[in-house]
Amino acid sequence: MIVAGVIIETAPGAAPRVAARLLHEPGLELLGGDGDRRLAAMFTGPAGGALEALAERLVHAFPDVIGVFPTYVAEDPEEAAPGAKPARDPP
Amino acid sequence: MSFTRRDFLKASAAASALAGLGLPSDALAASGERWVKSVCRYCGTGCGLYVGVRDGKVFAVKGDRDNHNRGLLCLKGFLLPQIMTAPDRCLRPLVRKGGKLVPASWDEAMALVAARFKAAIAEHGPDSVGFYGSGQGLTEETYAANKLFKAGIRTNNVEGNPRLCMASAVGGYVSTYGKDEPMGCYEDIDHADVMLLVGSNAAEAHPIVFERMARRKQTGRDVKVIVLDPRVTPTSRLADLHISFTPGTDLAILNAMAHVLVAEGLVDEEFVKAHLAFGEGKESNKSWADYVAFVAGYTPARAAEISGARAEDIVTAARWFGEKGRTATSMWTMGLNQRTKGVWANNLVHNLHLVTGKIGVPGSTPLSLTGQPNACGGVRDGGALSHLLPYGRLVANEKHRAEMEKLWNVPPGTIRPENGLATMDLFKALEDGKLHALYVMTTNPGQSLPNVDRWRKALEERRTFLVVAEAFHPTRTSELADVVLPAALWAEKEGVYGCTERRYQLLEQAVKPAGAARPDFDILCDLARRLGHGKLLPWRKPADAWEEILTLCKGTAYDFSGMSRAALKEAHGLLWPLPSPGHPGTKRRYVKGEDPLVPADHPQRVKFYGRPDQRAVVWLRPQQPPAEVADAEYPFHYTTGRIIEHWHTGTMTRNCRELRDANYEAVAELHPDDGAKLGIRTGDRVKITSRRGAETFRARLTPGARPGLVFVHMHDAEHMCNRVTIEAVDPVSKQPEFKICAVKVEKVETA
Repeated sequence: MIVAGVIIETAPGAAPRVAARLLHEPGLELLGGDGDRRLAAMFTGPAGGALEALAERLVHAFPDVIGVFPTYVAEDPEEAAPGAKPARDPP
Repeated sequence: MSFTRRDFLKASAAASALAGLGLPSDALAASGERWVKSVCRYCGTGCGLYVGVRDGKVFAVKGDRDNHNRGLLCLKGFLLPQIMTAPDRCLRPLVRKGGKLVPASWDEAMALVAARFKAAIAEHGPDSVGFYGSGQGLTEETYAANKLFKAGIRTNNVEGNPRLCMASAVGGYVSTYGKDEPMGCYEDIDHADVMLLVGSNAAEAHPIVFERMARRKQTGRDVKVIVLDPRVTPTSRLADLHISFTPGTDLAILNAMAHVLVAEGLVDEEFVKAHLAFGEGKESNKSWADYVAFVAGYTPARAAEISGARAEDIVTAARWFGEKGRTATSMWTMGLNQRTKGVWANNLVHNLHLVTGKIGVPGSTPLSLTGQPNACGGVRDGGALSHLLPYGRLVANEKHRAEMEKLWNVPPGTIRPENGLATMDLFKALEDGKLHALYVMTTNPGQSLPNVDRWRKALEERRTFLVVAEAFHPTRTSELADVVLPAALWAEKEGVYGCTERRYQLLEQAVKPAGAARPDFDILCDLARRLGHGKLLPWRKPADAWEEILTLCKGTAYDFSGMSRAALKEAHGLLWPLPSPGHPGTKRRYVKGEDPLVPADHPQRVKFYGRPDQRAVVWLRPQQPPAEVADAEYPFHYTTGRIIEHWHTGTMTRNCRELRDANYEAVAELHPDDGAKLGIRTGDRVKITSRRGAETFRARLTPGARPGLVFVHMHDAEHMCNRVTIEAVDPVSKQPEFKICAVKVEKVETA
């Protein structure tokens, strides 16, 4: 299970609109925003590319999203989320 | 009320995200955990961070809000804790016996290294050995190696990965301003009205710098972003104008932009008269009139014909850049540097700033972005290349050698007057059997050199005794070694990193080295003692070496002698020049009122004190083709580069689960039209062949690719892009032309 804090950067003025559309994004909990172009959120998801996938999904699905920037990422090793992808063997 | 570890992590994540917005939160401080100030291990942006330590292990990182990155990190940085406990961490020395690398004690391994180096030196002379380091080493580590080899062993065969990365940027700065390193800083992005990116996919290679650009683009008034890149990349999302062109023709475009600046009166005549000289070849023996005549030949129409770009786009770019009263910052990376005309291309970017006077004011600066975290601080500034001595001094300069001999307290004549072998020549010497022992530290030339199989074959012949000091094993280099020395990694040791903007930062040790690993600094001091040069490296800890380093920079154009260990520990990065204790550091070099090396009563706003005439040089650099261009037999151009999930040869990022799951295997990006012609679809496996070698990759068709150009990710240890690249080098910087060669493409497997 991965736990991350993220800043979601949007086009100017688009943060409230993007926030409304992210309310039901799985694993994403909106924490606040500057009312203009930045949102703070917490993400929880299975390890194995979940945060990366979230970032890619938001950037591609929402034209107003400029980027997703983690501010914190930690792993909770005590409980693997159901459906977490196993890590590949290292090279 | 119970409070689980999950609760704590969530609270920490929330606090960090809210802090990123500048909003308060109910941050938690768990007992038994501490946060140690450090710097990201990856690119040259130099993002400040804190390493979270619990039970003696790194469990998390968080961005440093008080540093330039404002608490933001890219995903690679956040996943740094995973590299510390990676399954392929090298935890004990290995010595090759019977053809296999087997565990050995430190004493056995070091005794063998010392004996083989001594034997090579005794039998074949000091130039039969060499050091190949990296911009990933800490400043004190690189300094120790440089001093040991140049003043102890007495060979200038000291090289490193920055030769492959930043050498042309160095050549550009030195030839234009007399001294290396940018004069501007990240803060200039916040004031830039125009941002010109040339050969830089910052969105993926330098994401936090890109975030700053995006912020400026969003918040500034009519901010324009121009991207010159053959490919449409994620960076292009920010662009108002993207100019694609045939690889290797951007010198024509840059000269044509200068043509427009001159033709339309967008030059700063007073600045030109007061501060500039003009040159061709190696001499500054030309005039403004000569320059005007030179760029007159590069009409936008001619540049368009050469490059395949649109003439009107070149005109637009020049007009935006040159508009009076607006600021302009340019940024570039390997697209310019990794070229046989890399120094010239760098010169031409500087020319745009110089003729318009858009330099040395907030928002106007030429700012090369650096690839490795300490290429600037450790290797470029520290003088750890074969032609350099510390802090702007040159091997070939008798006065500089004498200065260093005095500072190092070694007899006059100790430092050899001939440049050592630059990287490609070093490996050619290895191939020729002239290099009998090589010490590789914190880098992976067995994967990263151009035309890599040529050098791998030479290493496999085992005529050179190869020592690899590395935190991971196997790498594509350590697998070829005779001795592998387990090196401490990142938070396991202490030292200084210097990033793109002359910002020096202290990485504090957070945890003990894993297994039997030792900091490279300790290993090098040990080796020096065993080679009989212990007096040259007498230090007990890196801070001792730092005290010595401060004496070497004092009085030079790189003066940071006021940057004590305590000051570094207190600060969130310090920018030099910083010539006295308590000095706040310098955002903009060469600028009166900012740079302490410019007298307060200097009559003009800038002083280019790096050159004897105190003028920056505008160079007349003609368009010339790359070493290899596409032809009938090899009809595609081939280029390589980074993607956001991975870094360099992947020894670290491919150890992070989330990053492995994203773009684990390198792909070859092709334009759909090329795919249609060749019967290739996304997912098919293609073989890419150059005159040197071949490799197979999965194909990905993308409309952002340029027709006739193949782009391949550079991070895959199993599908090595450098089997294909060319080892031709820039004659000035000796940097190879990774970015352009000619290939053919064929489908070998259908998806």
